[in-house]
Amino acid sequence: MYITSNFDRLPNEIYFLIFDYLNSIDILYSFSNVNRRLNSLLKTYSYTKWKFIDLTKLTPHVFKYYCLQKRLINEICSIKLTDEQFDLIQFSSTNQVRQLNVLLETNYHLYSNEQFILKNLKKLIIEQNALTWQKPLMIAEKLTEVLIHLKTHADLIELLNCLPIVEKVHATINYEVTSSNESNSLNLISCSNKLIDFSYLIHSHRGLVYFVTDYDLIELLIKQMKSLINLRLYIIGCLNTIIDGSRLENNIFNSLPKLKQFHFFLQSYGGKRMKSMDEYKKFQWNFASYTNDLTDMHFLFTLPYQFQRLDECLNEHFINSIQTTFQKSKDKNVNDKLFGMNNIKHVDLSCNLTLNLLNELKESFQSLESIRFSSSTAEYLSPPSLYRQSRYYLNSIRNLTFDHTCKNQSAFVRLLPNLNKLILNQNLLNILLDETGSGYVCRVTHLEIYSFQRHYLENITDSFPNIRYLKLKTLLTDDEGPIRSYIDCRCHHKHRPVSIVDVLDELLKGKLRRLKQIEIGCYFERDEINIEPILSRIIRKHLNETHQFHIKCENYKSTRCGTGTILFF
Amino acid sequence: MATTAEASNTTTGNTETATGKMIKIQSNDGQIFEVDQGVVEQSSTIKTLSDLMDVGDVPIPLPNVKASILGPIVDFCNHHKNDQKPEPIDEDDDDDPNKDIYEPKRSDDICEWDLNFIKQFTVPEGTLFDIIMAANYLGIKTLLAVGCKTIANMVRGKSSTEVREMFNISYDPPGEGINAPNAIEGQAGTVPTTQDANATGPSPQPDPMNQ
Repeated sequence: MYITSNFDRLPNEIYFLIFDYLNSIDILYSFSNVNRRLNSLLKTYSYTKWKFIDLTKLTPHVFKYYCLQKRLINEICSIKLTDEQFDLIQFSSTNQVRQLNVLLETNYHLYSNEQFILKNLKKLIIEQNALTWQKPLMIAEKLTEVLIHLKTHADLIELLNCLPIVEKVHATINYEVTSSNESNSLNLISCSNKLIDFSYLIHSHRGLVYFVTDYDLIELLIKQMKSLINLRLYIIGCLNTIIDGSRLENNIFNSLPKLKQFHFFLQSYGGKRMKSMDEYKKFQWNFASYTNDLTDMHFLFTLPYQFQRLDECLNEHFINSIQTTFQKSKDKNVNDKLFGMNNIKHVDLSCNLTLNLLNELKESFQSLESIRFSSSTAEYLSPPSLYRQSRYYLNSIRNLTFDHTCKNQSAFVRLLPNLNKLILNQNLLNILLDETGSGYVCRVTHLEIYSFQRHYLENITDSFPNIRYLKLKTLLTDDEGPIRSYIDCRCHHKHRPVSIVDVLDELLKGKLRRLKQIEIGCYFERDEINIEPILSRIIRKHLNETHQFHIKCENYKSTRCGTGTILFF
Repeated sequence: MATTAEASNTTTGNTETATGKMIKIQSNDGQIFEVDQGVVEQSSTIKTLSDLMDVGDVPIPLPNVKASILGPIVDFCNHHKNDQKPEPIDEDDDDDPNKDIYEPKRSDDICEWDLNFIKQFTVPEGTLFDIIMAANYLGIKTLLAVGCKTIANMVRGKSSTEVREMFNISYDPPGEGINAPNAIEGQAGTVPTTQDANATGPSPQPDPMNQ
C-alpha cells in the first residue's frame, strides 16, 4: 500500500476507537472500499454491532445507502428507526428482526398489514406518538413484549386480542381532541395468560383533558389479567370517580392473586372529597390522596411515587396537605424519601406561582426537567411576583411549555437560567418579549411557536440567536382539527398560511447560522409540485456548497396539513 | 542542544506545593518540559517510566513525540489535572449480543476548552493525527478520546470518497488490494478504488437526496 497520508499511519486500535463513536452504518458508509486495510478492519470490527442498529440519527443519504444493503437488512436482529424510515425500508420475507423500535415523529396509521411482515418479531416499541392501524390488526403472533402509544382504549383492547402469548404490555394513551367517550368499546376476548407486566398510562399528551376516561372499562380489563405480577396505572380525565378501599380490593387485588408490584395514580374531576385514609391501610402498598381546591380535582396515588410525571396536581399546599396511610414524619427529608417525588421529570401546572411553590419545586422535585402551564385554569391565575434573585432559580428545568391562555405566567422564564426548549404561541411570545426582554430566552436552542404570524419573524430571529431547532406552526395547537378545503381537497388551514419560501429566505438571510432543523407549516405553496427544488435553490443562495441539507415536504397531493422540514448537517 | 520550557500553569509556587515534586520530560527534538505530579498522573506511559526509574533530575526521553506536540499536550494535562476521575465503564458491554440496540459512544460532549484546544491541530498539516498518536503513545485517555471524537464528528455523514479526500487517504495500487481482480466483496461494496477515474465502476454511494 502506498503511504501517502498521516491518516494511514494511525494504528488499527485508533481506527477502532474512532469507530466506537460512530453508528455502524455511518462506519460502513464512510469507510467501506477506501482501501484494503480499512475493508479488512471493517470485517473484523464487532459483527454484532451491525445486527443491533439505531438508524434514527442517520442523515437521509446515509440511510438511503443503508437501504441498498439488502444483505445487512436481512441479518438485522434489532432495529430502531423513525416513521419516515419505516416507510422507506423494505424487509424481505426472510428477515430476522426480533425487535422493532419505531420513533414516531407524528401519529402514524398503518394502512396495510403487509408493512408488518416481521414473522419473528418478539418485541415492539412505538415511541412518542400514537400508532393506529387498518382493522383487523395482523401483527406477528410471536410478540412477547409491546411498549406502545395508542389513541384510544378500544385500540388497546384490539391489540391485546391479537397477542396470544404476550408477557409485557406498556401502553400509553395520547389524549387528543378526537378522543371520545368509549362506552361502546370492544371487549377483551382472550387475554394472554402469560401477561405478567402491564402498564397503562393515560395522560394529557398535549395538555388537553376532557374527562372522558371511563375507569370502569379499565377496571374490567385489569380483572381479566389473572397472571399479573406488576401493574402500573396512571389514569387522568375521570369524572366523579372515587376509588375507595373496598372497590380497590374487590375489583383489582382480589382478581390479581399474584400481584407483587403496584403503582397507581388516578385523577378525577368532581366527586366527593376523601375524608380518611384508614380504608387503605390494610393493603401492602402505601396510599396517598390529595384534593386541589382550585380545580376541584381529586387524586389518589401510591407512595413512594414511581411515575415520571404529575398532571395538574401540584400547588404550594401539595406536599403538606397530602393525606397518607402512614404517619408523616416531622423531618422533611424523611418525608421526601417516603414520597419519592424525586422521580418526577415533568409536571403540568395550573396553580398560582408562589414562593412556597418555588421552594417546593426546588426541594422535593430535584429531577424536574420540564414544566407545562396548562390552560384549563391558567387565565384565572394572578401573575407571579417578580422573583428575580438567583436563590429562586430552578436550575434543573430545561423545557417549558405554555398553553395559549397562560399570559399571566410568562414571566416565569426569569427563574429558569438553564432553559433550553420553549413551546408557546405567537401572542404569548410577544407578551413575554415585551415584559421580560430577550435576555432571559437568548440561550434557548429549541423553539416551537404556534399561531405563527409572518410579520413577527424578525422579532424571533433577533431574540433567539442560538436557535438550532425551530418550529413555526400556523396551527393553534397540534390537536387542532384540519379545516378541509372543499374546493381542491388539499390544503387545510387556508385562512392563515404562510409562504415557506418567504419564511425560509428570511431565516437564512438573518443571523440564524446554527440552525439544524426548521419546520414551517401550514404553508400556502401546497399545490406547487416543485417546492423542494425551489427551497433547495434558496438554501444554496445563502449557504455554500459544503453545507449538506435535506428537505421534506408534504406531498402536494396529500390532504394532510402541509409542513415543510429542512434538516442541516 | 536541549532547551528547557516550563508549562505556563506550573510556574506558580502554589501549584508546585500542591502537586509535589516536578519531573522533566524530553521531546525527540531535545526540548525539556518540567511537569508536576498532576500531569504525570494523566499519562500512563510517563507515570510508569517515572515509577520504574528513579529519574532524579534526568529528563525522561519521549522519542515518539516532538516538542511542537508535547508542549500543547502538557498544556492540556495541566488544564485537566484537577478534573474528577470518570467512573470506570465496562468496555465489554458494547459487544453484548443480548443488548437490544447497539448505541455508539457519545461524541458531542467535548467541552468548549477542549474544542478550542483541538482546533489548533489540522488535517492538512497532519498535526491532528500527530496529537492522537502522541496521546495514544503517552496513554492519555482523555486527550485520545477528544481526538477520536473530533475525527468521528468530521467523518459522520460523509461518503467514503469524501473521507478519502478529507484525510488524503492512500489508494491501493492498481491491481493490488481491493483493486485486485478477485477482490470484489459483497459486504464492503464492489467498487475498486484507484486514482484512475476510468478504472472505477459506478460509485458505491448513492447520490445525495437533494441532487
